[in-house]
Formats: sequence, C-alpha cells, structure tokens
Amino acid sequence: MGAFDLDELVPRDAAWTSPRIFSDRDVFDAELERVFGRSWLFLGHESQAEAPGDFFLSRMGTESVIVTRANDGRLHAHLNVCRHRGMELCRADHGNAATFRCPYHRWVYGSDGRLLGVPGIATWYFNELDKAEWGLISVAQIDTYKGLVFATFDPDAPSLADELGEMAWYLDCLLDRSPAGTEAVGGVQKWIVDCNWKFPVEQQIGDNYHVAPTHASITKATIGFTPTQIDELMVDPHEFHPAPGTGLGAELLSPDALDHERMAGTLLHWGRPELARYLQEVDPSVRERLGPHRSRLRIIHAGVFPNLSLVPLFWTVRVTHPISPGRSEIWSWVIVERDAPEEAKQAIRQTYVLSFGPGGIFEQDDGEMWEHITRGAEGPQARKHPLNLSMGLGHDGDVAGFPGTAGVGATELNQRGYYRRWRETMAVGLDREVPVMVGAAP
Amino acid sequence: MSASTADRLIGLSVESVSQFLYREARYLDERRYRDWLGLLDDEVRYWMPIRRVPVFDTTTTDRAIDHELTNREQLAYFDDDRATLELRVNRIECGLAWAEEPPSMFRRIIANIEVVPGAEPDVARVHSNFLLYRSRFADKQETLVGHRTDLIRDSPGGLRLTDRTVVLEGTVVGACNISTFL
Repeated sequence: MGAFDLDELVPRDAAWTSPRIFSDRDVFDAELERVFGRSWLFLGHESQAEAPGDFFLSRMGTESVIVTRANDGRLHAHLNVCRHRGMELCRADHGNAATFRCPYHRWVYGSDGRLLGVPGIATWYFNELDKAEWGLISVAQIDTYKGLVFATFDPDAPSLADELGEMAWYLDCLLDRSPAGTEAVGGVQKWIVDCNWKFPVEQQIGDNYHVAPTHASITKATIGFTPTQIDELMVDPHEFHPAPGTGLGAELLSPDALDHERMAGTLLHWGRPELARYLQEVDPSVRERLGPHRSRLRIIHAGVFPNLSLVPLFWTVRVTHPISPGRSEIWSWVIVERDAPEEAKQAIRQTYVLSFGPGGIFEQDDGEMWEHITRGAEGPQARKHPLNLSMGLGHDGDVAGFPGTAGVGATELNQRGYYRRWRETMAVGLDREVPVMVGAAP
Repeated sequence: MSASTADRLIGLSVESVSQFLYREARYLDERRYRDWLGLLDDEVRYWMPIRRVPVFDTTTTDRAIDHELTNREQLAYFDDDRATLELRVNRIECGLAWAEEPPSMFRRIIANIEVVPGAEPDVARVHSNFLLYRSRFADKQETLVGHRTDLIRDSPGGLRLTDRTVVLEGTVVGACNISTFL
C-alpha cells in the first residue's frame, strides 16, 4: 500500500471523508493505477465513430487513447503512443483515417492497432522485427451500453453489464427512449476546473441538497423566488443507489406524468415550445418502452464510478478526467434521440448550452464550488479534519418497483456508496497489478 | 447610467466601430451589464463554437480555422439570443450567482480591429482580437485569448451589435467557467 491508511481516509460506512483524498499526491498516484487502471471508463458515444476509419481521441485517466471504428466494424481503443519511441501517434481530435502514421519515424498502424509498416524494415532492421509483437497497446476490454462506449485496461474486470447492474435500468430513461437509439450532438465541450476530479462526480451522483442554494440565482432571476430547500423546488425528490458506485437523483412524479414533465421541468424549458411539443408527441411510445415505474421518474442527476456523470434533465453525459490532485478536465456531450425532429434536437442543444458547460448558468456556479472546496482540502490544518458525509445515514430503505436502496428527500446515500466503492477499489493492493499486455488485442 | 444621446456612435468608419468596441468592453469591465445590453440589436445572436483539431486535407493548402469549429447546429459554449442574454444578466445581477458573487475583476484588451464593408450598406463585418484578464480572490488569475467576428449595424439609435462569433485560441477552455461576455 502507498503512504496512506485507507481507514484514515474513508471509513467503512463512508460517513465522512478525509480532505486528503482530494489533495494528497500519494492518493492521486494510487488512484491512477488502482482506479483508472482497472475501472470501466467512459470514452464517448458510438455515433462519434460510425464509419470504418472514423476515430476520435478520448482519455482514460491521464492518458490519451484513440478510439477507432476498424474495417471489421468493431470499436477499438488504443493508447495514443507509438511503440517505437513513444511519440504521440494521433494528433487530431477526430476524423477518418485508414491508418495512423507516426510523425517521428513514420511507423504506420491500422485502425485495429496492428503495426502495418516500418520504414527500412528490410534494410535497417534486417527483417528481424516482428510487427505482430509491436502493435499499439489496446485496452483489455471495450464494450458499449446503448450508444455509450466504455473500456478498461483490466482484463479481469467484470463485464460492463455486470458493472452497471441495475443502474442500466435507470440509464435507459435517457438512452432507450426510442427504438432508433441516441446520437451525440456534434462536438464535445472541454474545460479545465482547478478541482479534484471526484468533486464533480460526487455531486452529480447524489447531491440534490446543493441545488436550491448553489443554483438559487436561476429561480431568483427567472421567477423571483429563492428556494431554501429542495422540497420547495422539487416534486417528491428521491435518491436511488442501484449498484455499487452508481446513483441517481430523481423526482417521483405522479403515474400520469407526461414526457415533457419527465424530461424538462416547466422552469427549465427556457421558452422553447418546440421541445415540449416533441416530448408530448413521443409520450405514449416512451411510456410504453419505460413502463409504469420509470415513467414516473424525472431524473435530475446520475453517476457511475469512477468519473462518469449524467444530467438527464439536460440530456448530458460527461466525464471528469484527472490531471493532478487539484486539477481536472471535464468533457461533456449532449445525447439526443436519433429520430427526434431537427427542431427538437436544436432546442435540446440550446437549452443545454444555456444551462451547462463552462458558460451554463447552472454549471458556472458549480465550477466556483468545486474549485473552492478543493482549495479548502489543500490546507495543512484543514486536511487533518474530516468532511461530513452523514446525511440520511441509516435512514435509507426501498421504494417498491425501483431497484436499489433509496432515500427520500436529500440524503448522501449515493455519495457514501461512491466513496465505499472508491475505498474498495483503492484497497485492492498493488499485489494485483493489471497484467502488462504486449501487442494489439486479439 | 445609460449611454446618453451625445455618446451615440454613428457610421461604420474604423474610428467609430473601434470606439464602439472599446465602449462595449468598458461597460463589461465596469459591470454595467444593462448598458451593455443597450448596445445589442434585438435580433442579436451571440455564439461561441467549440474548437478541435481536425484531420487537415494534405492534398490542399487549406488550413482555415473554420475547419476547427463546430457549426451552428452543433454543440457550442454559448449560443444566445437577446432573451437568453438578458436572462444571463438578470442572473448575474440577482446577487446569488456565486461565480460572480463577489464580482470578478475583469479587464479586456481589444485589438486588431478591422472593418470590412458587408453586403448591406448599414452593416459591417468587424474582426477583432481580445485578451480577457480575470482576477478572483487572492489566488485565481486567468487569461482567455481569442478573436471575434462581429456584424455591427449602423442603426438610427447608434451602432448595434447584431451577430458575434467568439473563438478562443485553444481546444480546451482554460477556466472553470465563463461567467461574463466576450
């Protein structure tokens, strides 16, 4: 184990966390290996690479990976590192390319990661270099869940389906509303937040308690009302903890709630009737797909360990990439139904851009919080004292028809689940290193 | 305090347009958001696309910045009309928008102003560069650098901004938020 004791960082019930998990370099370095080296990580949306040769750059932990659609139609993900002298191989963010050619010495690789060409292989390598052994380093497993692409460096990691567990049932509220599936609106927002990577994730996995105070300006500026509690703002708020390290916060609407109530609160339409019109039209088919229980859910926020977050109410999926203990980079996508009319897609896109991302009227204030709690966690004296995470401890239960543990109103149920999962992942010592792989995945 | 009639800028000369852009920047630096809104056309569109590195076509010499930008139907950092800009201003001024509470100390440097006559006689296309410096509390100082392409209309009430494209120099926004206007 590293230079820290997990019991001093997060107790078994995760009723508090040490500020050191947000600021210690030793903890961060261990996270890169134990969390980001082993977990299923979100890479992007399948629609970003549909045709053979399509690729986009993504990131796993601090490392750049190339996600490709190879000629065999399958998705691949490789470390963006040439096997010769380690040059960054792909220097475009997205595009279509039959091969990747290293600018340094022009080794050439295929979309599937195989090494195809080495200049001078006969004359200067005397044909003694076995190209089959020097393909790109590929992820150990890659899989998709209804358009979302995930990969892990750990060949022994459980399947993605096992990892998501009952959380998939809830994710379908955003991802499976139409038989046509979803697509990502072109472009990924990327911005730097000088915060620890876990702060955005812990908030979006379970914190509806912050919504009224942190985002008070929204209701104040739109309807002149400043709510002090979530129950002034939300209809029957709940938090659900369906699988280890997963969680979501949702309002439990009445059984006859319509789709435009599920997917956009009246306050949040921002005067876009075309969105309400579309949601009203699809209500019967969405209701049939989701069934009576999920048709009651207005999901505000959600998260999946380690760094995936969703804000389904604003149709967004995002990851928080670690850079250093006090610095992160957020990437954010907007997901829409493929068969939605263009005017509805545009309304969703504009509503998102106004609300989230670095310019969003919600997320601007989140950024302010995430940066300043990180500064607090860096203080030599403040670091000695735990941060409270006990809200609702021992008061969770079940809601019939909804998988997982549940809490009513505001509760830190999901954050505790997240940090318990973090603790378990960090506790798997360096005795179980991820095996070193050589060459492309079979 | 709103811009008085005597301050009204008329005509699309480089001098007049430059004064307009400097004044706009000063209103924003001085947090006079209502006065800033007064400089915008009712039909204004304010847009900041996402920039990314594409695969450039090596068979041509075309290295245009446009290839790096999302289009107006794709995702952006800002995509506002007058109503949403007013909502943003209302929010900043309500005293509960924590990204600007207490207010950031902003200073804008506007430069390289170039006025290109447009297809319509009363509208000019205007290129400018900007540097936005922001200071927030003791330990947060940051700079955003970029360029803008504006459409500026010579209206009876004075010059008005009718369309703005803001492009940052970079593929990742180097700030936790953009809580102002560029």
